[in-house]
Amino acid sequence: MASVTLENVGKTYPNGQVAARDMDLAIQDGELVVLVGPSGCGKSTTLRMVAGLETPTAGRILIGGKDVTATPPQDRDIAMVFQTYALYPHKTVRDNLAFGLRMRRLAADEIGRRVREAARTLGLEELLDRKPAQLSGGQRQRVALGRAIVREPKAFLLDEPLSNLDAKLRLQTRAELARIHKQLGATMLYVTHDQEEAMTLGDRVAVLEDGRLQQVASPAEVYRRPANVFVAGFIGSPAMNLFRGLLQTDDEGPRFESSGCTLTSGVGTIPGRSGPAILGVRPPDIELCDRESADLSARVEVIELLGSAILVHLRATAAEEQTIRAVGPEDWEVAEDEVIGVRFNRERLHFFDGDGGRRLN
Amino acid sequence: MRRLGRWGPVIVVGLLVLAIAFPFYWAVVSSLTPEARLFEAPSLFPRQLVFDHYRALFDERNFWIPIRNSLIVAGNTTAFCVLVGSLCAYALARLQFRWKRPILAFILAVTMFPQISIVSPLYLLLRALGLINTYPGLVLPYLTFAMPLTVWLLVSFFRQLPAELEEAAMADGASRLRAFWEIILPLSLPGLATTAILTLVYCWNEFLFALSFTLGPERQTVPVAIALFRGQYQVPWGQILAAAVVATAPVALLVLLFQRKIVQGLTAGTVKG
Ligand SMILES: Nc1ncnc2c1ncn2[C@@H]1O[C@H](COP(=O)(O)OP(=O)(O)OP(=O)(O)O)[C@@H](O)[C@H]1O
Ligand SMILES: [Mg+2]
Repeated sequence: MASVTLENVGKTYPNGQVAARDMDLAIQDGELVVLVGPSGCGKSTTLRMVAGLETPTAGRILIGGKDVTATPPQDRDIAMVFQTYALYPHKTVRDNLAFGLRMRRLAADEIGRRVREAARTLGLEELLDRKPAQLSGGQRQRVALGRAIVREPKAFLLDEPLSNLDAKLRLQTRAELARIHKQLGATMLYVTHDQEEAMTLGDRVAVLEDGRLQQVASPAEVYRRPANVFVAGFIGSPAMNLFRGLLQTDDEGPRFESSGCTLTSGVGTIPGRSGPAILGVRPPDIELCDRESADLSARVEVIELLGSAILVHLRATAAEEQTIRAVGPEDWEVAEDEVIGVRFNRERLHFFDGDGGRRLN
Repeated sequence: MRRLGRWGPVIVVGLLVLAIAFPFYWAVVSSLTPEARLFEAPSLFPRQLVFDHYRALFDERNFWIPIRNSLIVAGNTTAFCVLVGSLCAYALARLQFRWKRPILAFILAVTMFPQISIVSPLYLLLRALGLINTYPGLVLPYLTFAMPLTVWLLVSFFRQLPAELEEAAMADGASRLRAFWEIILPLSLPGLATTAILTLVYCWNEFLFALSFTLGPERQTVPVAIALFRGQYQVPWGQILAAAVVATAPVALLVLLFQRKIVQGLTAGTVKG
């Protein structure tokens, strides 16, 4: 295994489409970094550049400290799992798994041993003599993974490897992947647009928007201290509530005012800041309270049952356009159409610059 | 009306088959009819089968020689086309380089010249190279029309294969050539078979170049040999028809054998990863 480093990597496609801008990312040896972002933000492009299937138009890529920017894919010693599986249709599962080992000229008995081992790990033993067309989607997915894990590459590149599985199989395979990662001490770059997957799998999460890295940090850090409004809105489900308003600092300390709500106490210290700002509050950080001490009064619109919790959709009474999502315990005393008062947990407020969206506190 | 709806297609297909197959059938029947009876009132069914024409074809006219020549020329042209053409088509279908479109257009443009217009220059060229009346002297000119055909057919075929297959192979450690050989070629067999047969049939039937660039029976191909059967005072129709049957049968057989592959090749694009 080896580290993977991107240095100021940029990619502009021949048609002018910019898919990566000035990207800096250092993946340690044995680390699993999850690359997340909305559709079309450049995740696959980044992965393909590391694999050597796409040439960066700026910057360098290093694998194990060695500059591989101009190295063709076959000499980079990486294993890639494609979103579409890309299994070889004319080869049996066994030959699909063995192909990469044959290309590396391993001895036949070593190939046999590794293929059997990978097949056992992924529960493919019964299927070794079938062709890909005779497999179910989930089985193909596992073959695609198997084709990567039989190798002992410098790094694994996985492009939405679970996207086509049903919910149950997805959870199962996700756990399997986490286990493989630990067991092999594998360096992995894992692409997904599913932020829950990112939070549960990644040692670190790299959030990408429009070809630009927004934040690279541990899942907890990304969740607790999102670096900007985009990350705040993208990570976490249901999504964070955002209030546009004005941050002012006077004698009594900082206060935040918006059309929906006004926060005078406990805003915390935001050194020397005043001006347009965005307040972020996660749905579970909203509490019920009586209307006198409330930060905000709102009308309950819809209540959704999430299993052990409920998701409440609110609309601020002072500002009709402001909707709020709150998550509370099942026995929360709310009813549809009722007007309630809510408080924001002062420990967990997020303030962002009203212009650039950068985190302030 | 409903009757017609059901039987209509059957009747149309039947008529078509009849129209296409009848000339061949007629040739077979006539080739088995004695020369003297050929111009009597024609009969749909042979009254008596004689193999005189076939015997004459192989005993007197040494028809084996043109068949051998045709096999060598058409076979070599086809083999060369598929080998070199598939590599060329792959590059045009997949690799990134400048002038790709102009090159493709140019390859097509090469085939646009009427054959007759390039016979004389080609003749001079081949004579200068000392290739008149040799096998290479036919294979090379045949490549001028067979190669563009091959390249065009294969380019469109390769384009339909998902690029991720070779990308996966390269990520697995295969060189581009290896990925082509192990992944792309096996998946393209239907396309290759289609292309090979079309090329083979084209070369097998080619007449003008074969007539112009050969001098004697030892290098003449089947169509030229048949054309030269006709003597000064008589046309040996029986033998000509027998020769036509002998020349057509192997091609027809080949097409029938590979029919499924060809249909697959012509309707390709359903290859799934
Ligand atoms: N070959 C290409 N030529 C031109 N533009 C491309 C090419 N491939 C991708 N793009 C563009 O580059 C951008 C990034 O694409 P990319 O495939 O990396 O997105 P992604 O993050 O993987 O999205 P998704 O989650 O939908 O898979 C997109 O706007 C896409 O339209
Ligand atoms: Mg993608």
